[in-house]
Amino acid sequence: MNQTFFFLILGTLLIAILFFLLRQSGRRSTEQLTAAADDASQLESWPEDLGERILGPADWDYVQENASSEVQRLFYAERKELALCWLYEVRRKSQAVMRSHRIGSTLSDNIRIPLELRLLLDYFVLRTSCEFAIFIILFSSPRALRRAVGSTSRVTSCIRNLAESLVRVNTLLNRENRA
Amino acid sequence: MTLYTLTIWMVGLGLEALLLARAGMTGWWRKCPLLFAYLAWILLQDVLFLFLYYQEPNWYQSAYWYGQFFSLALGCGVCWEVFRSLLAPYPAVGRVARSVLCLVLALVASKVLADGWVNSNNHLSVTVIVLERNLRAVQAVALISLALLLAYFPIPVNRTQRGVALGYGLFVGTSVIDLTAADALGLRFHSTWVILQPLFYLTVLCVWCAYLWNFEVPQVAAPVPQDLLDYRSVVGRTRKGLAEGLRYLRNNVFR
Repeated sequence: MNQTFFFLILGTLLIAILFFLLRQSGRRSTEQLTAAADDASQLESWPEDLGERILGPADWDYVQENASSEVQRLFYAERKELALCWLYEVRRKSQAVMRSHRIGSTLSDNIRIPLELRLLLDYFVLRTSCEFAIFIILFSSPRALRRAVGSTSRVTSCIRNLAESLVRVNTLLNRENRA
Repeated sequence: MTLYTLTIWMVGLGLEALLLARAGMTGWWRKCPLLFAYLAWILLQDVLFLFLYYQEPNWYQSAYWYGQFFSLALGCGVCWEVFRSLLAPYPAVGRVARSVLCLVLALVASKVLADGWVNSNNHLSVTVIVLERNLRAVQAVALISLALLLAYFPIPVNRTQRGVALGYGLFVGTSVIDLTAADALGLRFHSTWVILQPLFYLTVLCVWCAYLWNFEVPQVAAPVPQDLLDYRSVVGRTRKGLAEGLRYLRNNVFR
């Protein structure tokens, strides 16, 4: 029964993946790829440290002490939107870094799988952190984010350490195989 | 043979002949010789089977399964041609694909062939169904690996390459599903099988007709500036970008 299920999933997966991915990859041409690689080599810099201003306690405390409840409510709503916008921007930039890498690797003369895995891992940590922050702000408030940070940084560092050990083992095995 | 089966068979023959004629007219058979050989074999096989079905019905079943194995071998060639056509302009990605494929195929092939061996006491047609399904599963895994590589490395795919991969992927995917159901349900599935399998195959032929009608020559990689070719500098740039991103988030959020 398990085997039947495995083959049914495999067949369905193949059809779904091919339809979905080949539809996307058809929109590129080789010239576009080279042009994109050229653009991507000029990476955007990260913006000023806006996050501290948006998420930090200074403005919040001031409004809480001096403004009416209506103004506080408006302030919280706008801050939430602002924090989300800022995090979406951070996410977009991290995606751009990885996209430029994938284009660069495709055109390059050599690709090393362990290095690719390590970069994917770094990207995974960056994206997970971003998504976590977005999730907390969406379902709570920007202030709650700072409180939740302690626990998530422990979890992400745990995942990162585990995955890094796996990459290290893979590199060692490759080296032994070559020897 | 019902009217439905005969109609499907005839339409299939017509579409195969149309594809081959179009291959001759546009000259795409020179660019994709294995796909052309595959289609030519299928056409020949269909004509032969039709003849056997009416003239020598006793030979039909064994001829069908022997023919299927030759189609399978040619199908592997089509898979290889899809890989070669897409990855040839990008040798570094091609090397990654070879490593990934060798690993994945070795794992899957050993598993499915071992399963086939364990079940080898079954009736001949059941064994043949299981074996064909297992080999199609190996092709499916190869095509999934290719699709995932294309998702990661943004390789341009033209309309013709897309059509060949889509059509063959659809054929392999539906074959795996079909053969799995035939193996699991046995005779109960037979009536559905004779309707579904030719219908899926006709769909594949229609996809190929639509996509291969106007053949697009596989793209040659555009000249790339030397500094973009250096993998180490690409990796260095990405590392720097990701490290800056992490530092930025840590300073602003995770502090």
